Amino acid sequence: MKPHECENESRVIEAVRSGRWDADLRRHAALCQSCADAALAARVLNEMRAFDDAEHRIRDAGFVWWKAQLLAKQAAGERATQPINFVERLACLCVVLSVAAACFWQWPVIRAWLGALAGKPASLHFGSFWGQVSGAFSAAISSGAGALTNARGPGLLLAVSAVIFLGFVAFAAYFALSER
Amino acid sequence: MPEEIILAEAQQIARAMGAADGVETSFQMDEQTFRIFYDRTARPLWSYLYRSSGDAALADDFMQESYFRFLRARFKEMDQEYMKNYLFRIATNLLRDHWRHAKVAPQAVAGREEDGGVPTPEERGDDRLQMNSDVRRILQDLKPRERELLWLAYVEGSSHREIAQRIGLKERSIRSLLFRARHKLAALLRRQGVVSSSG
Ligand SMILES: [Zn+2]
Repeated sequence: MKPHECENESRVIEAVRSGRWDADLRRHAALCQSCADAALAARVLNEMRAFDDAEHRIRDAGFVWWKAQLLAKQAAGERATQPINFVERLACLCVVLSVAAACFWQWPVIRAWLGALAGKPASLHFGSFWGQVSGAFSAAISSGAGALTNARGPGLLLAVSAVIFLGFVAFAAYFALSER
Repeated sequence: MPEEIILAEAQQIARAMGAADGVETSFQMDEQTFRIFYDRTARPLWSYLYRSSGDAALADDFMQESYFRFLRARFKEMDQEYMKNYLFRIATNLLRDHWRHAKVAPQAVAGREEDGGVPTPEERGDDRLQMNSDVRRILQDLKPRERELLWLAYVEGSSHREIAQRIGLKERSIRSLLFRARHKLAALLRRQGVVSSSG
């Protein structure tokens, strides 16, 4: 279908919208298919618009204004808490990493403590099970910690913890300043 | 609920929130200017949203969201026509996103009879309502973009350039798209025997 636009179309549409037709244009619209289509579509759609105006009550400008202000405040609040949420998550991660690092570093002490617990099955009432669990746990940690401490010594773990802590402080300071 | 009560509540909450959190909302436009702009644009915008979506509740929501996004925008100059085009562009984008994410065919809303509290033709026995219902159904047989094009061209009287700005198409493609949409609508109207009261 090839678009055929009659030169009178815009006048026909304007006549429909305004309701002001001249006799020549009306005669033309009756004979020209393109203008007849345009007139029919424009007339029906404009009647729908008039119908909407008559039947639907739109919201008051004041309501829309205040609702927009509420939404803006809400959005501003969300923006303000975004860095706090991020820092909270980072803090959790730091705690987990620090606990893991402390476990590796102080492994001999922890092993001795676990061993002491495993050595008193009668008082704990779940002796053989506890012994198996603590045995597996200590074997897993000692292999990891042994590899790390033998290779580079506890200084490496201390350095890793310090770097994470400094990174956390830098992030917190950045967000605090950027928010201000 | 009467609109006055909703408005009073909204004002109360907004004041309380403003006082409580000290957050300032800085729209470029002041309330008085907004009211004037709103009076000029709200009715056409609502009809555009309603006739494009076929859903009165959706039109209400999208109208609020359009004005919210509009108010947050920054304009170099407060040119009324430019701002109106910008507002319609926001509304068109909301409709686009809706069709994209709704996972329902744009035609699916046709089945929802006169949402938004408008009585059905049977309830009122009104010819105008019957015609509105017929046209509403026929419009849902068009593609969303065709409805947008037709509405802007024939109801808003927008030029091809304005239509291109408002729905984000190239100006030179408007002519043929509009021609096809109009041809399709006229054929559907004739086939369904929908003839407007004045014609
Ligand atoms: Zn013609």
